[in-house]
Amino acid sequence: MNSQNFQKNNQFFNFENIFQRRIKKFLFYYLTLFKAPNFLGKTINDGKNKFRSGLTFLLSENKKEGIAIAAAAELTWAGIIILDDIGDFSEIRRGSLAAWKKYGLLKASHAALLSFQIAEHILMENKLDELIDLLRKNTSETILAQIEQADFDFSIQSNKVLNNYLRKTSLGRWAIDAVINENKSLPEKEKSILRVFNQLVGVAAQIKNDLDDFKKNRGYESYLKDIQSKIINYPLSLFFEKALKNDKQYLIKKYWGRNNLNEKEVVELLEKYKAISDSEERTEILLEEALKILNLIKDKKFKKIFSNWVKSF
Amino acid sequence: MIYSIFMSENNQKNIKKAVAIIVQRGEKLLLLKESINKSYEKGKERWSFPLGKVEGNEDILNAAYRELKEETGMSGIFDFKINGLFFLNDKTQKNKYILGTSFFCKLPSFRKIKINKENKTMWFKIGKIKECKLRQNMEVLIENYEQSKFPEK
Repeated sequence: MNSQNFQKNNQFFNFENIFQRRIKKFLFYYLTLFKAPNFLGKTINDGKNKFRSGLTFLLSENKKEGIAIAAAAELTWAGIIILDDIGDFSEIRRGSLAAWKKYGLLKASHAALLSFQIAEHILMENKLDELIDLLRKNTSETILAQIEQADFDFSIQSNKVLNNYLRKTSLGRWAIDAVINENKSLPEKEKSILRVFNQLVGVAAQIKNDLDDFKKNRGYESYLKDIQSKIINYPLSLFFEKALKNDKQYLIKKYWGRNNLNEKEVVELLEKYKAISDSEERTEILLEEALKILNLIKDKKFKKIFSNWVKSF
Repeated sequence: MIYSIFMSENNQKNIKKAVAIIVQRGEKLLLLKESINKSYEKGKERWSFPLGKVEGNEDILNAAYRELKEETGMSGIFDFKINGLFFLNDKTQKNKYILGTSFFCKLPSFRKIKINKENKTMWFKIGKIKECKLRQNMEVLIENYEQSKFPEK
């Protein structure tokens, strides 16, 4: 019997195909919801047999829970293999370039951390609290293992975070660009000046937003949200760039994805390496530069609107 | 925090600033040839994007225009965009840093450009640049350039 006939006649394989279609549909929704990079979906898809998650699904009594657990398992697996490749410096995965090699260390590690985050979200939606604890423990240990194995720190990454902010359309920057472009009376040189101003303020505003995450009394949203979501914002990237290995490990082990936050301790740890005050100083430098550039334009209306905008920060 | 910028007259922090300019025409980028002064490589040549320090109280945009004119002779209005921001440690002063800004402008292939013949400049195809001996840190600028995707006008 050749393998094709074997698959055709085998009930398990037929069932596996149905499972694969269901999980694909299920995961596609969450990957879109979390704006996951395409290669994360591809990494999940590449793990072809899906034997473990298939088995989880088959064994579960409640099929709704089963698909959630299976999806979380697939996501965790994808995140772990991405981190494994980074840890081992493996350049090839299943005959093609490994994610970190192809998309860069920062994008790959973000995708891996995001996959854990989505898995956690799925489990949370299905109230599978015991599994959430298990997932947190395992994923934190995996990250720690990478650090120990390959000295996986985020060194020289703060400029990459900065440049990601520069490319990201954030805080309505696109809208301001559109206003500048559509204003026919504004000379080309003034438009160019305003676009550069807009870029600098956009990056500064994003860092300011990151800094707000470390302030408890800002009156909205929960503080230290980025740390819990395993997002490396700019102050954190500065910390990972400068901190000693032990401090990095301590921060990750104690606070990465945990709710038992002690704001004072986190801020003190970051300030030990001036990550927060340096971020504040750099924000000021960028805004200072932006205001200097704003002075180059002659249009008083734009000058007034934009300088008031900066003052409102 | 921000009010300190408006309140203080002497708000210049101990920070040095530098600009680099990536000019693209068609599918090519403009590079400058320069001689190496370091003793162990003296006489050898390498390639660099036009770049330089920001002087005194000058803003980074004017510094980009000035450096481009000084190093290549190019003048006129350029649609500059920032395509890279870097905070680098200043090796000469402890706890101080340098703000490096790389500007990018894309020129239409039909735009005529006057370039000083004294300056050794050359248009390089993007793929060929990596084969050249480049000045230190130019790789970072190229990497950043490749990752930037500016929408076509």
